Amino acid sequence: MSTSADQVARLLALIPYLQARPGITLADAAAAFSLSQKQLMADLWIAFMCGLPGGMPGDLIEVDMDAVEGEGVIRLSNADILSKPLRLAPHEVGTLRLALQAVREIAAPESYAAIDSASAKLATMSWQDGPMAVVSMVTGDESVRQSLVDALEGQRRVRLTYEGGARGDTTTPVVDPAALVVRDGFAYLEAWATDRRGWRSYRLDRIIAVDVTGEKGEDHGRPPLRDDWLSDAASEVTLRVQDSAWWITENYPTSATAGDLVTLQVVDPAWLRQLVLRLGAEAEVVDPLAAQDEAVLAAREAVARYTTWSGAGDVVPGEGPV
Amino acid sequence: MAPRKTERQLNLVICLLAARRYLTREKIRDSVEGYQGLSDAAFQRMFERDKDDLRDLGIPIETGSNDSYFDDEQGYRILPGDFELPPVEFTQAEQVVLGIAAHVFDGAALAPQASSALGKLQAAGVELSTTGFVQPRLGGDDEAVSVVWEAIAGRRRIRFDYREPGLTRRVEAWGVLVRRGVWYVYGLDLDREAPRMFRLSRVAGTVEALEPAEAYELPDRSVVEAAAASLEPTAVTDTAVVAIRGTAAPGLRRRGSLASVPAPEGYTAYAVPYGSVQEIADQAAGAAPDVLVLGPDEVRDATLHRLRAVAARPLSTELA
Repeated sequence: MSTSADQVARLLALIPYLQARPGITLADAAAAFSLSQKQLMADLWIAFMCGLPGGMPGDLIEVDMDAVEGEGVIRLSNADILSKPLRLAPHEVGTLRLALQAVREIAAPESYAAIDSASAKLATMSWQDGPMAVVSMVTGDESVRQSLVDALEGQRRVRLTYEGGARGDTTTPVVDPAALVVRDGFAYLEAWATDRRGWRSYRLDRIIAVDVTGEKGEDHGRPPLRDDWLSDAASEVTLRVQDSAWWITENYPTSATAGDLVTLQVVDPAWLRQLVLRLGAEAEVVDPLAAQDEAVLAAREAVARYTTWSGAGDVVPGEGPV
Repeated sequence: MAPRKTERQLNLVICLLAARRYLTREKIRDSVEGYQGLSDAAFQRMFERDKDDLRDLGIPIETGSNDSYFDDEQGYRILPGDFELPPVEFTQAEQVVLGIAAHVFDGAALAPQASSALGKLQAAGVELSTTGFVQPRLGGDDEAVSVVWEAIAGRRRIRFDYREPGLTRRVEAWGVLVRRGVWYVYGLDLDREAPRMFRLSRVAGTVEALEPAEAYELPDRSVVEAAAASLEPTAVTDTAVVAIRGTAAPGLRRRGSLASVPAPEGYTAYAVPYGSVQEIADQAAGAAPDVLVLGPDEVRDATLHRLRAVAARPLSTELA
């Protein structure tokens, strides 16, 4: 949605920007302002109609609309009065500083100084302090991040020591790193796993070590969007949850909720097993029932072991639920 | 979009920026395209609204008179020095991190604020470069995020229904916390007369920003930081003894250290520090039966409580 106010604000930046870059392409200018080319065209038509009071040809901002529509290049002139952009508003400064906090969470330590100094400069650019914000993400160890950024920049193949997924074993995959991304507050390495010949995500806080192999990484294009992976492999499991477990709807991919029923997108059965076990009485699988079998078997084995072991006399079991 | 309104407001800005003296309303009405042909009342209303809109964007429209002896001639102007972004200078390394920051809000509620700010910086000569290797995201797709954010910037109180329609809260918002992708607003709850934290995903309906602006003061940043700290897991206070089978649960093993107590066959005992009973019981139950809690009783009982509830359920094969 674009309101008239957004458009005025944008034009007050766009006009000096274009004036300083005669001949810039429509595509580049649209990308710089995160606009579609159609939106940018609409903005240019407005600029074309504006200027100093008087409305005489020499008073108006000049935009070569033929060149825009024909060659896709922008030449904007006669807007000296708008040669500099409007100062930053407090919420704009706050937004960029918040974004920099997010960058700092996932960045390699070598970037901290630049992030902090950029943020400090921004803080002086408005007439009032912007909103305060505190960010926290799970992004693993600084030295792991530094090694991964080095591997990304040098296009190196690396061996990870990875304390795996829900099954909880340690693996040492050899991968070509492609990107560090964040989903729901957790940082992941997106990488091409050479042994699996496919894209994999590795949670940064579960990567214990990164060792360079000495080999050059290969270019495998871009990793697919995570949403696609989910829809490929996920199955739907419906749980009846108590209020105290309602938080799962905010933390995990949910396809539907109705009353106390929640339908989750489940990719890995082992993940569902550990979720059911930790939620205990707070949630129960209702459909398909078989999805819960692994958890029930695990719980039965565990309860049996607790009973046997306490029989050995070292630890006396507490009776009944807490 | 209303092109005519945008044109008129842009022309008004240019006109006031170019003015060497305060311009009276009549002069503005004659000069700016879009004000002609209106009744007096319609012009006054439109001009007032335009002035408010532009001031909301941060455009400093000054009011004053050219002649201090006859102050009945109120006029308006914009001083370029107050209007323009002062010269900015970012190092190459700073431009790289700003280039990464530029995409943090892609597709999120704060995207317009971010692109408008970055547009201004680029207009002032900043070049944003991106390698695309590092892609942090903060989430926050909800429109409530942007309403709350701008309300805090303008110190406007907010009003919203929380958890369910009708349960209305009025809040002087102090700051925003983003923890693991979840957005919270923290501030003074005016009805409970105490600081409270609200999860934005639990707002029912929309958040309304109330006039006037500058209605309250913000506390020191440390107040918001303390609230953020309260969301983090509690500091380690105790140690549990758990038995871990084989190479399972590497996270717990790494957090703990070998304990010299007997463990079931195939298992090894570890002493693992923990913050809360709930947290360690969640982990131990989730990893069962590869992890068994040997003590203390409190942790073992909480873990067993979870496991018994699940163990009592029928298998799908037992139902038919």
